[in-house]
Amino acid sequence: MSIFSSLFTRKKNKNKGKPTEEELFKQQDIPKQYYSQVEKNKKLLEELFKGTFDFKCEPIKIGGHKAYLTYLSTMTDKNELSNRVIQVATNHPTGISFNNMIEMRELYFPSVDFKVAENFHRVVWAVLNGEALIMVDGFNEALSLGIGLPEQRAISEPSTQTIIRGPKDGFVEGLPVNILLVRKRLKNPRLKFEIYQMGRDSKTNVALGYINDIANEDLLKEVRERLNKIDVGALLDSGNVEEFIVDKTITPFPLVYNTERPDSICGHLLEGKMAIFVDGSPFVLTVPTLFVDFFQASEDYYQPFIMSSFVRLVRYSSFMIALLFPSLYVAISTFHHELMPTQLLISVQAQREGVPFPAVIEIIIMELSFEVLREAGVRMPRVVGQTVSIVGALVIGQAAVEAGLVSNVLVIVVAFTAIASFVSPIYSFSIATRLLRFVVIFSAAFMGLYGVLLFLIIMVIHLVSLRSFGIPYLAPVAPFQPRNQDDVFVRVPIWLNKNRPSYLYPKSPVRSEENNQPSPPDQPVGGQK
Amino acid sequence: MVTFLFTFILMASIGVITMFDLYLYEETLLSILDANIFFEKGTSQWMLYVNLLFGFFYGMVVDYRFRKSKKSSKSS
Amino acid sequence: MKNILVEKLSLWQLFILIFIFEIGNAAVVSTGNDANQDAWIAIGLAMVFGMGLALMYYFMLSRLPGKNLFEIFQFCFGKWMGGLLTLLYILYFLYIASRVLRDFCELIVSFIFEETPIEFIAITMVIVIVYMLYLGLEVMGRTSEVFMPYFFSFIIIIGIAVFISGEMEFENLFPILGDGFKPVLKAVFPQLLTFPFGELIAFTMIIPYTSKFKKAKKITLLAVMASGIMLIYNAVLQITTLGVDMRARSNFPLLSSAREISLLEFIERVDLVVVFIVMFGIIIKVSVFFYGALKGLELISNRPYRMYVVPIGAIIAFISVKISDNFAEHIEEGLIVVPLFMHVPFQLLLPLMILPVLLWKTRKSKEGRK
Repeated sequence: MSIFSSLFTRKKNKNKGKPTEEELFKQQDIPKQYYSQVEKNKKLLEELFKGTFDFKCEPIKIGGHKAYLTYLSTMTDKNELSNRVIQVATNHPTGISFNNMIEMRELYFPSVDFKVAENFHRVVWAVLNGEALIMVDGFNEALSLGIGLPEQRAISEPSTQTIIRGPKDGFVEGLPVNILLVRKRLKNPRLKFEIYQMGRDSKTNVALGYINDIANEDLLKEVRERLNKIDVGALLDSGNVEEFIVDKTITPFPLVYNTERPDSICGHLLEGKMAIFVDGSPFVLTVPTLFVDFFQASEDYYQPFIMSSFVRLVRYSSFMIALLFPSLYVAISTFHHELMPTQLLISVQAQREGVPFPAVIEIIIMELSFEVLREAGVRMPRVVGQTVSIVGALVIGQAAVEAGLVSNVLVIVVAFTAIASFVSPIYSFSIATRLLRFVVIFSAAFMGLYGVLLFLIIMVIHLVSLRSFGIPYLAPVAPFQPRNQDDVFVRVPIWLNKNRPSYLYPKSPVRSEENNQPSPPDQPVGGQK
Repeated sequence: MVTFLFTFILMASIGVITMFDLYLYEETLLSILDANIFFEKGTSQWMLYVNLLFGFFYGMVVDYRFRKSKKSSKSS
Repeated sequence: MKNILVEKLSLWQLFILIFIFEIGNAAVVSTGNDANQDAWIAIGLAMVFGMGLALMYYFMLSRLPGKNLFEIFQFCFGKWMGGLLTLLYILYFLYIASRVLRDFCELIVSFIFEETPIEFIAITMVIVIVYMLYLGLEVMGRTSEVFMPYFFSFIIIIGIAVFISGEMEFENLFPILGDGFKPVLKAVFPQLLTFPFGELIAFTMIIPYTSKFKKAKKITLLAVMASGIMLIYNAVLQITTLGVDMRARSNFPLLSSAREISLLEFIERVDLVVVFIVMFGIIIKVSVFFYGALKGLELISNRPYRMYVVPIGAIIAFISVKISDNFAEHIEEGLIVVPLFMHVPFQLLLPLMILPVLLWKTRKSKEGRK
């Protein structure tokens, strides 16, 4: 009974929306009152941070006033702190009076980012965020100074989405740096970032980015609503946010796009999508997401359009190969020999002669061992990486064939499938095919090609029924929109792609109006005739 | 309601195909009905009956849930 | 239950649905055999009549925009009489859906899986259809949008491939109208007119839900025309490849003609392609009839139709197997009984009877408003 009632209350909470920052603190019995006697505040803070080794509360004097400098030593930059706060405060002549915190800041710390904390919750919040807090005796507010956070991972090349031509910087774990990477590319005052705090225990910063005069209002409202509804213990990665905001959870296909590449985020923002940055995660989400997004790499736009159109078609077909190739092998080699040309059939069957298993078992053994290898390859320490890959290649490749466990053709099938499954530029999409592949293999083993067809039709029905923030997942294809076909299966040259995709209902649907197709000059160069 | 309509339509459609069989073939009503209602042993027609049973129970569940939701909406 | 969204079809989706629906199983089972080598002329003629029928259905719907056929019944005859008519139509739709499903099951069982029980095929197909309809009309429209290019191009490609393989003999088409016009007319009425063109009656349940009802008329006519042309193409393909006799004798002439394909000594036996065409066509066709019946049940019982999808789907699978013991019986019923007792009354007579009542009632109500 209690389980039910707790479920019920949780639901009620959800309906109310996420608890505000204040409520969060209230639940943890943190008082709100900030006293003008600084000693009292100090005591409260010390009580709260008791047992924390990096909590520092040092007495200083500012202009003759008694004051405390409070900070978490691990969260603040030591040099900055001593140069810009402690030295300034101690070297400054005494006796200059000030009436409130803002005046004090103008006098002493004119070039430092600041906030005024007027209640105790804000004070705690500031300390937790790595700010240096100055509490002066006799004032009923405190001043928090934002001094640089300590070292972070340097901006480096994205590890999951590598490209050959194009910008090589990738997002890192810090939210401000990620926003900087985007702002650097889009110098536009209408690029907005809204900040949210989420997680009862983690208080993670989440930023929602969009371009005000492109993104659709209703979509924006929907995204905000869903972000506000999130009520969670802790957010450790953007993957956690993703699960909260999707339209439908029971689906193998990712309904939210994630990327490590700032240029690809910018491209999405310019189409009218919204980006969700989560502090502590180098993967930034964009919503709404469509099926076709997972076949577009940002490099497509930097390479000649004919080539990238071709590559895109390769991607689509390799998606189908990754999904269907093993099951077609099973279906044809067990049920429909007649569909294979005779010569091919003979050579395939000749190789299968010594194999003791039916094709299904054979392929499931191989696929499973490949999955194991793959998982091991991701998790194992880099040092032993080579061992596993050699062993894997030998075991899966040669030894299995020579021992007569599997046939040669099957190794080709599995290997080709595996390679094809890595073609999708986004990892979360390529893993969607992994699970589905097994489903098709089983359905092919039971029902042959009829089973494959059944599976395909059910998959399409499922895909078609999906929506991402109300936008149909297969948008420019079904419902078919002839106007938006210029960037789906093939990419037209950039000067021809003048409209933003209309399925996102952007506020300004036109990218550029002028016809700026390049052409040779009218006059011969150098005046020669 | 769902269960009722399910049974009704099942009966009616069996009636329709029985009628056509009667029109086409010179057999007795009983033998046709027997062929149309019961299943031949040894064939895999049992699948159909499992299927029908599933449909029937599904209909009952839907009915039950519908009635429950109606009651709760009335009381609130 | 699920929240009920307003379901709307776009005009393009309506076009595709009608196109696939018409071709559906008409492309595979042999039609218009009475006309011998002129079967394609018969299909053309039937297409013209079919467009007339479509116009009539549209006219009925346009008298009360936004209402489907069953709501029109209720409007004309009151709740009880209208309900009875609706029930009859529900049975008709379900019966035809089962027949169409059986066509496909026979195709699979006799050509691809000789040992698979027919029940299994029927049930798996129904599962797909039920899943699609449970997700709604929009999903059906969009699914057909995804498959349309393949559906269309495969039919065309089969013709071209047969032609390149050198299996076509155009002498088979001659003499044109060698036996006069009579056999053609005999093929058109009642067989070709009612199947596939008269079956458009099921779309009276769908056309009211298109987003631009006023343009639906043009689109419907266009779609009927396009599918008619496709069927003529098909008939010509079958007659030239198989000859008149072979075509009449073969149960699935499209499949038989596709088996003649042999390209580069590599592309042979493209049965799968045909099976795909048929399978998708049949899924759409069954779904449309099924949807019509479900909408009727929704009207009768005043409950959302999603509740009925699973139970009624089970009935369709059941009836489709029980409908006849073997394929010969199935075809005989389809040729003799069904046009006479099902198609003609439900597609022609009843709508023609309703039309004057509808006209009279709507006229009165319009005057009353003035």
